[in-house]
Amino acid sequence: MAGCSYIVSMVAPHHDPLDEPSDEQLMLAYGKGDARAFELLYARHNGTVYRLVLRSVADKSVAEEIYQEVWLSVVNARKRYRPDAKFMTWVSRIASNRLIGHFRRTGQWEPYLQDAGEALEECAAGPGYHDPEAMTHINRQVARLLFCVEQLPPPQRQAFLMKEEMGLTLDEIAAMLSAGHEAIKSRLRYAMSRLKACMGDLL
Amino acid sequence: MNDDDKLSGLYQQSRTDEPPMKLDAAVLGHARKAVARKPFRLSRWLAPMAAVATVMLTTSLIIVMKSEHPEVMQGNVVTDKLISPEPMTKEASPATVESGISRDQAAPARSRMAPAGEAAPQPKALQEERLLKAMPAAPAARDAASDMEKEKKAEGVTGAAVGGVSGNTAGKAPAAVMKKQKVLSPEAWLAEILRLREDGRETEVAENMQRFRMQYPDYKIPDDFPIK
Repeated sequence: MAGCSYIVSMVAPHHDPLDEPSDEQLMLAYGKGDARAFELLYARHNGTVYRLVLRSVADKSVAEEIYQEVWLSVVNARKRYRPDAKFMTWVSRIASNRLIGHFRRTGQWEPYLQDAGEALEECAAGPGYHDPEAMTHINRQVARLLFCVEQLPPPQRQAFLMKEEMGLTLDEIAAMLSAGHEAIKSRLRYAMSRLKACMGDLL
Repeated sequence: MNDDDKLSGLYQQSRTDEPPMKLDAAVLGHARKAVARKPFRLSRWLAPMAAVATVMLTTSLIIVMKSEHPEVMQGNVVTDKLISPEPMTKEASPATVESGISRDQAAPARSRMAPAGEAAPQPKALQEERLLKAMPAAPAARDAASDMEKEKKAEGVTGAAVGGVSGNTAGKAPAAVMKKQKVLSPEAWLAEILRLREDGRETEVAENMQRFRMQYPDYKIPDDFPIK
């Protein structure tokens, strides 16, 4: 939360978790014109949304563009928001639609939907991965994992990030990616297999 | 701990990336702007405010005119004709045309007929005839006036005039009576006022006398006329 610590201190100087309004309450308040409610909401979730987008898309500039579009969509839809689902599920859906739209435009989605989850032993030596000697073991593990996530086919990567980053359930992910429960389950299974293989002896 | 849990744990440790501050500023700026109140713009309110002001001014003027010049608001025939936008014949507007007053100059004088009348004094018969010609409902009015004249000749001034008007209009609405009164000659009108007095309708007597004086400000009421 380093990037937005100034926002947190600005909008919530005395933080009492027991008195905190829920995400849904904040979003409803923002829909009624309370800009401070949005600031608090944004401070809570900007990192999660940013990481989801950044780790889904290889290009950082594209990721930042999509990230901004996601939040602008939230802002523009403030009056239509209904707390039927959790706020973050709603935001995840917006982000997911943007990301899948990007993958489809760049031809990175459909070809991977039937992926059988072949092993990715070769990814360990792939380009873009740096393993400085100065890194601690845990840092090397994390860096390696992020590299491996980046190597996953987009449908598996999306399923993995939505589970790990957004904390969504299988059914929520299935609804978001317009797939069946079993399909998502197998995507996640393949994703984990690939990641294990990619991590090698670092795991 | 199995490998899946290890991977999940490792991923949770990687959750440190945050958006750059410029992105935060852009998003928050847009969010604040979206719910900011629009500043008051004079040009947006100018037209409605002007319309409201116009309506209020017009209403005030009407109220003032009604209270101070009821004869104008009740449609005094002669003054209405003076300010009529329709082209007026020389006969229809004798005072204005003969005294060389332009239409614009004549308009402010709508409630003061006396000066125009004094500026161009005319025989009463001629005045009355021109007045009758200037009436909007001229044929009907002339008929009514000639009826009164006939009755006057046949039965004598007072009794005939009063009997003719009040007898024919006794059961009609006051507005109809007033309209008919407008076209009466001074003599017939006075006769009708006498008749009203005989009927005990004092309010109408007073009202008719007031209207009579406004209609014929230069008419000399006979000394023996009982109502002053």
